[in-house]
Amino acid sequence: MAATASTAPSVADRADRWFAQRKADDQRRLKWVLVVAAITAIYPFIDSALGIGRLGTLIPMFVFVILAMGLNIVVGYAGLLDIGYVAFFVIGAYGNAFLTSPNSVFVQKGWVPEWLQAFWPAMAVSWILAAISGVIIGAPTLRLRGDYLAIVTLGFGEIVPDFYTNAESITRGPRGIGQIAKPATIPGEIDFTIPLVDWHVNIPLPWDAISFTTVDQRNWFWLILLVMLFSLFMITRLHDSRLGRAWQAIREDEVAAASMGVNLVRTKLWAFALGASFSGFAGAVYSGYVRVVYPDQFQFSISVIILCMVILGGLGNVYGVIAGAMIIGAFDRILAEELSKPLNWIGEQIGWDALANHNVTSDRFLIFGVALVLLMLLRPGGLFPQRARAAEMAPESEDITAQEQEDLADVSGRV
Amino acid sequence: MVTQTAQPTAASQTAGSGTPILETRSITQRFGGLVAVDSVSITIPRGSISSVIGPNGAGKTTLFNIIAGIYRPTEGEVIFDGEVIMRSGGGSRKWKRPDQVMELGIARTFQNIRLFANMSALDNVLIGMHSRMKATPLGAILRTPSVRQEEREARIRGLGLLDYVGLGRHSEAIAKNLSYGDQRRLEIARALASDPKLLLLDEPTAGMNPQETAGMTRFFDQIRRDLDLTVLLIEHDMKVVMGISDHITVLDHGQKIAEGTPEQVRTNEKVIEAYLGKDAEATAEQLVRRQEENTAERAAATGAANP
Repeated sequence: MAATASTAPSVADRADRWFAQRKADDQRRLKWVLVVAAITAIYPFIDSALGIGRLGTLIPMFVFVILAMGLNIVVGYAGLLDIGYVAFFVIGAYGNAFLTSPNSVFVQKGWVPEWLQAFWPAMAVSWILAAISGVIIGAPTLRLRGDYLAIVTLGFGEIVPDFYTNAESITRGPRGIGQIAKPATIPGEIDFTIPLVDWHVNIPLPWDAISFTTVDQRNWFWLILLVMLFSLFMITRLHDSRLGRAWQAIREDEVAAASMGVNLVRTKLWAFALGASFSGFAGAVYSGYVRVVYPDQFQFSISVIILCMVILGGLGNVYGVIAGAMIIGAFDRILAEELSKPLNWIGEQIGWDALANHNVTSDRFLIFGVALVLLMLLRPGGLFPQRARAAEMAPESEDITAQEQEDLADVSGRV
Repeated sequence: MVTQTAQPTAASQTAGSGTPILETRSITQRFGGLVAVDSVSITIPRGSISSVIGPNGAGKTTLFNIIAGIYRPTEGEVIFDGEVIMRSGGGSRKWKRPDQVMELGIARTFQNIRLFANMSALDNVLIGMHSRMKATPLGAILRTPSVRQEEREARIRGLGLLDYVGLGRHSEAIAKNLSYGDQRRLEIARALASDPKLLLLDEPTAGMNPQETAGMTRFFDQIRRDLDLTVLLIEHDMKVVMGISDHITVLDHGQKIAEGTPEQVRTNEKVIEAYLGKDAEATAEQLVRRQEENTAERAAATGAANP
């Protein structure tokens, strides 16, 4: 700006300093992420050494982490309350099934090219399918806000699994689709013969053949860990971008955002599409892992649990959301089960049959509910709130003081 | 009609300096039975500081919201920079969304400040630049050199704008923690970020004391000169605009009752009635007469609207 009095550090310097700061922050976070990921990656060895046998529990938990990260884009970043997110999970999971299972009508009719009938290409296609379904489901909700949006998305969350239940000619209804492709085995050596000269080449690779069978839970564990890291990378990049800023703006004030040149339709559809796309990842990995999908796996409660994960961790803070997803997942799948044992033991000791035979897993929704109420009362921003969210939730009085201080500074400084 | 505006500036010579920057042709806005804006035609000369004034409830903000694309007018046309951007009521209808209006070069502020309260001052300004930036989601994920470059340039420009409005040292402050006057300034910086041709300011001095108001009005004049744009102000306080406006339009009960130079408006009888009737000299008689007239005008207006 021409009229700007040239103060000591130029605007370019200040901008560059900001970028340097962001880079430092990013690197610090990356370091932490890598440390945590490395520790997680070692876990399968610990698991088998100590005979814990929890890999089969952790893998679905990680699927839910990816789902929670995706929902966080829609709810946390763009502020669009979606309580039917399970719809996208269904679409992602069935996407993989349709493309790779010999039970699928699409494969039977020969509509799926041979090269696509494998895990990796099918996962990529599922990702795109889920993103497109995000646009299709998102489009009719664009004019709605808050409660109304929530109700419509709730409807979609019911319609989509019902559709998959009832469209028997395509989905085989409640029987589901089995024999879904798992990732091809990654060979432990490169072995081929050059034709004509008939040379046999064999290059051993520094690992054993990596196969993804149900007995090889470890490889699944590492695979999904990689998918999680990849998702995290994409989501953090999106958050720190022009689009991420626009999401935050429409979350704060739609009318102002539109008046400042943000195309509401496009920005919201991107949120729906990208948010849904990660459920395509999650769905494809999940269906490849369990190798069978049927509509009963995708109930309304899944939408609620994923939303709880996002809210517990801290809307808008992707690291918080990962933590929230792990906490709820751990409670849901491990703690509730483990908790039953001491309770049952106490029950036996005091001779109270009801307690001795009680299974805490059946109470988990009750405990969820109570925990969520307490959380909203005590920490409405979640356990690890995003900076802006924390500011939103902060008591107003602090701001008044800030403004008063500012005014005082103005009075003494200028005049 | 008055066109003795400020000296033509560099930009106004490039694109047909004769054509007004903005024109509304018999804009009418009805909300159910209420006629908020009644067939209002205004012309904003290029490079001027123009004002729309009127008592509370005169339809000023409604007119603004029509120009900014928030309401679709019931009838009438809006012509910006020689191009019809909105047309309603018979014939080919045309309408622009607020973000499209912004992209064309009309930026605005709000009567009750509408900043992105929990974003930093600089991020607020960067949203103002949103429509001028090109980064795609894929580019953002890959963080390509062109995206980095664009982001850096945007930040530099944003910091420059914050310096310009005097908020340079608050660039990372959360908007809602800024003082009231600074929030007003930030709103202007955010609007300027899109590099507009026309700046719409909706009661920018509301809630300010006379000193602050004077400082703010000087600032508008500076913006107009430095940035080579046209400023359209909304005010209900006539004193604010008299000193700086080249051209004033007066609305009352949704109708244009006068327009011209400050001098012409000041001496216009209808304006005095609509406005100064409220002053200390105003007798009860005057007030009664004014009310009667207004009722008659409204009756005539509804009669004209529904023949």
